[in-house]
Amino acid sequence: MTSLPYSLEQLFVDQDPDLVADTIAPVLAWVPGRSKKKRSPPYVFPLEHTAAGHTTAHALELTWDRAKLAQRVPGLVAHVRRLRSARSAQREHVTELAAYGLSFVAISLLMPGRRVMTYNRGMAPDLLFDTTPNELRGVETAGRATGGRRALTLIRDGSAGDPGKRPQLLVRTDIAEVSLSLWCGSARTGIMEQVKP
Amino acid sequence: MSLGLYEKQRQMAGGLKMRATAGLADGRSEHVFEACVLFHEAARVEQRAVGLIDAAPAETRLAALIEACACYVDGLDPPMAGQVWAQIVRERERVDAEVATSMLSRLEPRYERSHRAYAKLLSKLVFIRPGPGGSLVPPHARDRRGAAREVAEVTDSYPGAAIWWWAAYRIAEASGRNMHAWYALRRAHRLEPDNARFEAVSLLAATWALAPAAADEHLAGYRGRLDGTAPEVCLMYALGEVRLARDGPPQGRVERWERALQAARAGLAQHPGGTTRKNLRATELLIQSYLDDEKPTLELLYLAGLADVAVRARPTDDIADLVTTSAKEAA
Repeated sequence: MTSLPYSLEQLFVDQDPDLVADTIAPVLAWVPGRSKKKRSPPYVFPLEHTAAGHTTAHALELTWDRAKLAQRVPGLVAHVRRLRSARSAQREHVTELAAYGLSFVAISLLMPGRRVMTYNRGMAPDLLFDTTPNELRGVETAGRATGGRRALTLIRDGSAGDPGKRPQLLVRTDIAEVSLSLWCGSARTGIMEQVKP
Repeated sequence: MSLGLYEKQRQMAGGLKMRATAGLADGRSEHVFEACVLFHEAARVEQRAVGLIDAAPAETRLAALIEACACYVDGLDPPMAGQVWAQIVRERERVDAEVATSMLSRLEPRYERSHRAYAKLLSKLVFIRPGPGGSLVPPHARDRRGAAREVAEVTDSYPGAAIWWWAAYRIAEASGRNMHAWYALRRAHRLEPDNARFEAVSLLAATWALAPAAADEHLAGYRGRLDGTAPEVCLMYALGEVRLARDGPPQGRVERWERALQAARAGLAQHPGGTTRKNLRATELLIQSYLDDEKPTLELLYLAGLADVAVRARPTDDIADLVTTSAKEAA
């Protein structure tokens, strides 16, 4: 298993700060989880990466410098505290944004030089490198709070009555290139898989 | 094909959507409303972006509609989401069925859930009857209280629905709850800044909802730039100045009347049709009578084509109030 260390503040260099900024607090709120045992950095995500038909096992070791992040994201500390503790905070959106943040990390590590230029809300892929009509290139993301690797494979492959993300992406003739980036908070794990071409 | 401009617009929309999602994650009502505003702006940008591409492929046009609709669903505006969904239903026919189904696989269940929940809420309304032939403002005060409660329930669940903030404004205004009316109107306008009706009505509403200095500041934002502005905006600006002239100190009146006259004529210069033209003409005649130091009479309503207003008038009715009410009812 290859170790892949990454410090979160590097995202402001590797990706568009305007897209990254809103994912930082959710990552800080979501990744440490609730268990006291695994709440200190580095936060290790076993990451299965498949590209060009070849699968590699990595260990994403995520850290961050809170002070540096707070300089880039005003109000960060209070925001993280709120997302972790406030009853009105919407958990599903925190998970969603944290998954985008982790996807930005994985893209920066595994696809060096690729920059996400925009974000889709209504359809896959979520994160786009290229919006050229009928030649879309990007990464489809999903996050789950629990369920481990099994939860992520269900997202990818589907189950009874749910076709799964991979088959849905394969029929899309408007997409030239797409990968799946799937994350689980407990047990921490990730899947990054090239689906097309 | 302006691909560079298209990419820039898509980039802008992406940033708006990400910020909006963060607002939803926060969960507090003010942050959720701001998220709705951002989603509405993103929807407009997405729909503008696709217009920049010459002969955009059907998949790209469908994708733009999907993004816009998703923004309205997540922006808690079911009526607008429904309007875009109607376009999706037509546009998907031009795309390969399997591809269209896959493109819609995320949005379709979300749209249907949103639509069902919204329809369920509307089915419980007693005092408000939305839709064609329906009534926004009940004629009796006791029913207006019930209507206000129902509308508040809808805007609590769907703070992104500008049409419901408009309903809240109409009911509050009819009930004399000026500050609440102003608040609701501003919410509607923030969600749909291009809506000429909301913009126009705010110019008149400011004069009775805000302190005179604040109302004057609101109108001041439009001074010197009314040429080419929507006739409705010119009309309400003019009536706003007339009202501030009436309620304010005598020394500023002539200046206000002159600005109001200019605005009414700017509106008429655009040759609007129907009731807007009649209301602008009545406003012009009203202001001219003030400037000529003559008492306005019902005759100006007849001259302007507002005989239906004139025949209902009582001898003690103020002509300026009649013209203003006519303009408000037409808004």
